[in-house]
Amino acid sequence: MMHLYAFARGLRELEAELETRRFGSLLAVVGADEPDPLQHGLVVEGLLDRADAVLPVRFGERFVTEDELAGAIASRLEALEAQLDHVAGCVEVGVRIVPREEPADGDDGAAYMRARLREQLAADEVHRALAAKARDSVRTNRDAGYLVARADVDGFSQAVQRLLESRPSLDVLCTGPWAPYSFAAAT
Amino acid sequence: MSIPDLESRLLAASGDVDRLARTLGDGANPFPRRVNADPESVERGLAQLVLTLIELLRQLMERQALRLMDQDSLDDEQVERLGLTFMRLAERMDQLKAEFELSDEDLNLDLGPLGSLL
Repeated sequence: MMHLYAFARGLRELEAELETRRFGSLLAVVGADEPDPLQHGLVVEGLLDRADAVLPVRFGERFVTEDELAGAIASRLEALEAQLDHVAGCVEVGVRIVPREEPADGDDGAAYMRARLREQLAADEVHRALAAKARDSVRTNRDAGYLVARADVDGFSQAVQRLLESRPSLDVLCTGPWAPYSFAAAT
Repeated sequence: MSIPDLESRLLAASGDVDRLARTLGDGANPFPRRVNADPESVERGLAQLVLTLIELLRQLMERQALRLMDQDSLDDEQVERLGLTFMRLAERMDQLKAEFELSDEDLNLDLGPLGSLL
């Protein structure tokens, strides 16, 4: 049984319990252990410091034989290589924005809607400004992930801080650097 | 291999950070919460599930309404009526949450790899 952790390029060293298989320009990082989700995440985080590019694989990709692994990768090798190029040298920075939802005046429905819209537009504006500074971005309801060059993380978090100072109506949490899970392939 | 220090991953924050932290769920228990089927608490468990779905729908409808409002697709009367409806709904949700002793984080189901619901 093999558990697939990530695809990597420019891997400098590897923990003892891990092995690699080469597919095209990719190294698939696999291990014989059956990790839990936290261990899986820690292995991927560990790779981030030891390789030029890391494309994380979501937890739960297991293969019984070498052939099964090769078969799963062969059909989408080009897509995986392109994704690894895309995230090379980058980490993910996460930003969660939660509007404060200040209660509006008792019976004024229009004022309530205007207050919610102001918060929504302020959040949209923060995301647009940050997306312009990132190599790529994804956004769900309240969370956004930004793909940021490793060397730019400090500058990016300073930009977040500056944007926040002028928007007191938003509660914002910015975390990272993480492995770029939001930009990894659905496997 | 040790668990990384989570505080070292905090790059920036503003506003009510404790409230934000609660929206992230329980980091020490990363596995999805389940409805507790214990006979004593099954009623509360079901209320948790139902209120979670209502809260999800409320948020989706509110977002849709805001989008229409932003596009000037709603007249003043419609905006007023929608606003009142959402206000009443939010009040009623607060009452029901209090009745079943549920907090906001209880209504945020962890969907595992899909993230949290709300």
